[in-house]
Amino acid sequence: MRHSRPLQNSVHTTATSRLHAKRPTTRHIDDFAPPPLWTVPVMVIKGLQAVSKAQNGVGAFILQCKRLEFNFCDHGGSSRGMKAFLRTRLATFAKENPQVEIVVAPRPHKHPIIRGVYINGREKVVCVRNLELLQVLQKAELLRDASGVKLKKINKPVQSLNESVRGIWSPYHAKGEDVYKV
Amino acid sequence: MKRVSRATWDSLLVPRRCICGNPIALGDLLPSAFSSSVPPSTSTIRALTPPSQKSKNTRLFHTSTPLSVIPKAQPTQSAKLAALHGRLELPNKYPLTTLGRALIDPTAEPQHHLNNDSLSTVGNVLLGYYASEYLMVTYPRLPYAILKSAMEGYVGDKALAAVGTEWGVEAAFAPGTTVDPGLLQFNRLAPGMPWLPQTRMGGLGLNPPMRRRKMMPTFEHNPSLEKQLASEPEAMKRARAAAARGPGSMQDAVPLEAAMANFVRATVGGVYLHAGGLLATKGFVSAHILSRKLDVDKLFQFEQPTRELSRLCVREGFHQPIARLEKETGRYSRHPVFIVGVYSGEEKLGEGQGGSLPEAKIKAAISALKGWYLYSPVTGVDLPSKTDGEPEAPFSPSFIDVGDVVS
Repeated sequence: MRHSRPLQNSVHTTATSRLHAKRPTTRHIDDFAPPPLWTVPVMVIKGLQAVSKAQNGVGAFILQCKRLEFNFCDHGGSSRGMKAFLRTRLATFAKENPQVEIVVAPRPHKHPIIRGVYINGREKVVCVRNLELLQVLQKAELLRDASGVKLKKINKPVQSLNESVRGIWSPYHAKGEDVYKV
Repeated sequence: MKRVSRATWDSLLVPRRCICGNPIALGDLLPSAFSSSVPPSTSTIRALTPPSQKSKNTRLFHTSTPLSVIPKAQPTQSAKLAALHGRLELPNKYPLTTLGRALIDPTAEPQHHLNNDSLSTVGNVLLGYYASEYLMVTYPRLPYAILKSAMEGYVGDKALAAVGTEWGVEAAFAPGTTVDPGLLQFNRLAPGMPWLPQTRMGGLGLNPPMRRRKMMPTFEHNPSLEKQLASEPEAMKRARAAAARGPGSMQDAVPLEAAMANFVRATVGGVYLHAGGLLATKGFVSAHILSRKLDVDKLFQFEQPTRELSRLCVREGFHQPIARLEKETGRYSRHPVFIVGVYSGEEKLGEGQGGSLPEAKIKAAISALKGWYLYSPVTGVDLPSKTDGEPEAPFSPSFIDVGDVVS
């Protein structure tokens, strides 16, 4: 029971000390009298196990797109822009993005696609049928810049692993106008 | 057990230009493969191939020694490996062949000069050095147990395996000749088999032959080894007996986590050897390992915080700590809240909030102890590694505490 007497008895006022005369509202709960040395067991601090968490971009930045696969069809007209891209721009694109593994493979009798494979294990596929060369390039850049996570609405302006510097507001520590009766 | 093809990795040691590899970017990486990763056994090959021949070399697949087998996949032809090289922003001095070698675990290829054993040993030492100096200088009063936990949190197997995964490294299903050199190759521990590395179990670990590969002296008629074997924990003896009875795969198999961590260590070792020594390694480690987030204040587990705080105050000559109730609400309700502060004389050491008076008091003591142990100098302290490159650099040493409270 919360309101049992022993708990209350453990708190006793010490109005006699000069220190407490300054703070009449504070009371002793218990003192930290050091126990005799021969009764003290070994006080060991134990370390808990934890694993450091990644903060991509703090320090090194790892591009999250690890592979781009370009699929095209030799005969289909919808692959025209894609094939032009592969012929004229892919070498430059690959040179500009050495972080990305680039795979070119035929995909006969189908529309052309670009598939991005990401470090988190997900894939993102974009169909580039009937797109012109520069539009294909845009899609490739979109996939390169994507992080691979599922699209979701982000409402908070800041996401951080760090704790708030100011701390969480507490009604017990508020002063002045912020004081609420708790 | 399948091994990495000998031909593949021997052929790394001679320069060649390939038909289908990217001749511009990858060609730049090739010559430095000569520099330092070549083991003594191939010094004859190196001697046969004068460096000037490289530039004049116009033939495709030129080698100075005839190879009967042209391997299917060269490290310099692997798009995966080149992409990993680019992703880590390694300099061109860092050869692709070394990165490829870092991906070969000793369980996949037992030969020293073809696997990442020596590289990971170098990397492990460097990682331990940079992580420990960072932690000791940042938190000079950290108790030893917490320091060890924090080291494990930064450069332990789990943490480094996470780093490797976040670098986008994938593992091959099994090692073999046809595996892409950009994949991590190791022999997987069979499901259900115990994983008993040396560090966890104490003693020699399960596998003295593994140690033999780590360039240790032979163990036959070795009194120190026999002594260690005799002093092993019981669990280890049982596991060793089980391993001797069981299938041989256990001897040379590791879980993915351990292999991935070794790859990261080997990569760091490669940075030290090829990409500019200690200075480059320090930059690499701080960028990839120490920049990660680890809450050191969450690693503490106290047994008797109030007593420990009391002993600490005795040791440091402070006034005896006194707990004072600062605020409370709902004492007789179902959810009381108590705010307790711990004072030493006039100084407030810590504060805790709890649903009961003892809880709040213990939390206050923990907060005071953490405030002591997690002291961190704000400015004006240098890491010891500052003087690695330049011994004359101005250096202000760190404060060193007497240690944690043990009594």
